[in-house]
Amino acid sequence: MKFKTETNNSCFRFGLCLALAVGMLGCGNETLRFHLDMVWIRSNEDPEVAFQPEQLQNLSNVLGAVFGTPNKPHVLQDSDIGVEKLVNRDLLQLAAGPVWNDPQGKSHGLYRKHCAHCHGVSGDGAGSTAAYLNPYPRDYRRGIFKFKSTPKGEKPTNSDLEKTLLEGIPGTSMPSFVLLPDDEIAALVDYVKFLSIRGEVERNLVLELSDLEEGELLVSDETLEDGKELIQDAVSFVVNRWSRAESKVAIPAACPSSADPRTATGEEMERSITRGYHLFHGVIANCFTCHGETALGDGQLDLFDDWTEELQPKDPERHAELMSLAQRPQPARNLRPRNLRLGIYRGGRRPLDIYWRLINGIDGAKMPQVPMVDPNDPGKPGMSDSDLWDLINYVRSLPYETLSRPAYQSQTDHVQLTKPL
Amino acid sequence: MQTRSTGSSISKIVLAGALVFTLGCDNRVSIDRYAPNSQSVSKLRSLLEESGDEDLDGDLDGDLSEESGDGGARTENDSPATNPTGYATLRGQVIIRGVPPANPELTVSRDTDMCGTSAQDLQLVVGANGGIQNVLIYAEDIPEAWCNPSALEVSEDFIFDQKNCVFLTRVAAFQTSQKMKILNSDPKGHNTDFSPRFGASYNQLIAAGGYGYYQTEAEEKQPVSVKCAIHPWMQAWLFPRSNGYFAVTDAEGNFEVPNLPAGVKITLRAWHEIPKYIQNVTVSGEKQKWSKGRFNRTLEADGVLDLSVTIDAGEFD
Repeated sequence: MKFKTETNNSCFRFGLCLALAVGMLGCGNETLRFHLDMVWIRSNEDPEVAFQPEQLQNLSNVLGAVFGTPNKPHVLQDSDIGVEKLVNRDLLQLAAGPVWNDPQGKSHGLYRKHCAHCHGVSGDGAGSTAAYLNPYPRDYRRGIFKFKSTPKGEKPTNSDLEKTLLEGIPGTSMPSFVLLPDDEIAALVDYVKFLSIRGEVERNLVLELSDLEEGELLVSDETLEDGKELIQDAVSFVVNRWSRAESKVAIPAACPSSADPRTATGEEMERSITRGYHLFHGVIANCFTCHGETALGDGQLDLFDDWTEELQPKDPERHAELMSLAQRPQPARNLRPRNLRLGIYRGGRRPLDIYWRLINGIDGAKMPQVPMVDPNDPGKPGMSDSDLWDLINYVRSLPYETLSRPAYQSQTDHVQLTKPL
Repeated sequence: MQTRSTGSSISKIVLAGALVFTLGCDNRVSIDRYAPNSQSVSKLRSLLEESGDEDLDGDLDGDLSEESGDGGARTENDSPATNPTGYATLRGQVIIRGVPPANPELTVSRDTDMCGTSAQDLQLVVGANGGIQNVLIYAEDIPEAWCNPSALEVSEDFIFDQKNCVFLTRVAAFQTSQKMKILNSDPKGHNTDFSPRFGASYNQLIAAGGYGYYQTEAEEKQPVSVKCAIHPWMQAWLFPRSNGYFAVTDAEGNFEVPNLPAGVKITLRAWHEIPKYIQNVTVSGEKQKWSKGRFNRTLEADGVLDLSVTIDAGEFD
């Protein structure tokens, strides 16, 4: 009995050591680094002359100089560029590095604790668990975020990113982190911004590299000043975009009381929803072309979002090569226009959230901005502010129609749906 | 019984280890072999973070500087020592040699009443004389001080229309001082979607018979793809520029760029949507390599330089 216990213990110890050893093999923190975006590099290579290893080593050194490593992220000291105004150095360090608790019980390594397993250490959206998720986790490196208060091409504000962290993204694997203390949320917001800036600067530097003559480095002893300027321009371009986000927030137009859910009578609301139905199916807003005649999200099924499209060149050999470079979960999935009958709104369910989707479009996902009327040109077809609220009311009413409840679905519902309410 | 449970507890621990291995961190086999070199990183960092214009002492890094080159095209136009002696015209014709490859057939998946049932992707348009349409020729990095006023003052709207699910202008080059008016001459909606690198992005639904405006603050270095998500086969290219030194070849392959600065070396670039930068050309019977589409010329004041450019059909495969 005693003997057996000892065996058990030694087995246990052996097993534990083995487990640790196996675990640590993968976590060589010294070698942990931000990876280059090999897909983007390959996609922007001259068809006749490949990038030289020295050029890519130089690119990696430049990125290392500007952004540091996953354990020691760097905030570039240059007040003209102003990275420090976007991300707080101390918060960044709190989010970076390995996971540990200090004697005061404060958590460190927040990004690796909460995010990296899906979004990847470099923020490429290809972490270890990414393959098991649908949709796949976001790749931050393009600098594109879908659910935000600003129009296509503009960055999200801090509150947009905070909202995503606090509420999660319904209908996806992105959970809510509402239980984390405020400073941890702020640290993660800054770290995601940092990874996104790093990734986008890398993409822009690759474009600069592809524009240089064969074999030329971004910066070398012979091109110190030019190279310095090129790098500074690339960083400050991305930083400026982030800095101006707050000024680009779309301020919602006033909602007429007859279309405001808080003040409209039942009859007024019904009329607003009917007007919204016609807008949804009309040739001004054109919602039905992608979301389908029945709003089930089945109108346009063969597109890819911006992140996936990049991996879909027409040549099948090239496609296979890019997929292997991306080390990205497969298969590539098509972009699905939202099924509006489910009542699941990825970017938030408030009327304001849907307003932002309509007026800003959805970046990276093909959803366009609705065309608005022009007060200076009465001949221009477009939507008025009150049209927008009617459309929002219609969209918000869809999950409550009989057809949306599977138990009640029948042929007659389908017929009923093809004519106005 | 006990042995088995010992065994299974070991396997559980090993499994847990494996799980740590899989989930704990980014353990992918790296396909990027370019770990930053710490010595170069610190040198580059001090270069970037130095205050003022003081020179950096010593080598940036031994292994960085083997290749010296001549600084490429980056510095060529910056020399303030020389100034233009006047203005000159560059014109010419771009001709294909050999049998042009057929354009791909498109799948028209919706709105066939308006878009037709079949269409070709008009990537390559060759005139009866062999002239190649939609080749873009433009001057790169011309300082504003060198520009002829006529190359700066354009302000009328640039019209960009779509009809029968075709963008009527395949290569839409215009000046950043112009507003682009995006029309929809079809009875159904289109959406016009493009994401320039430097300028503002755009993805707006253009209502049937309606229009939208696009104005950008920045010029682009390369043409930007324009798409419609409702009719995904539609394709055009957008190229906003800060000056008027660009031309798109017409149906016979002709182009003309007037009032270019003369007496100074200028860099021109040639682009077409299939090969992107046009690199292998024959100019007036002589084979030339235009690396990344670049070619340098110094024009004579009040002169006209005629370029006869021939490109092998193979470049468009």
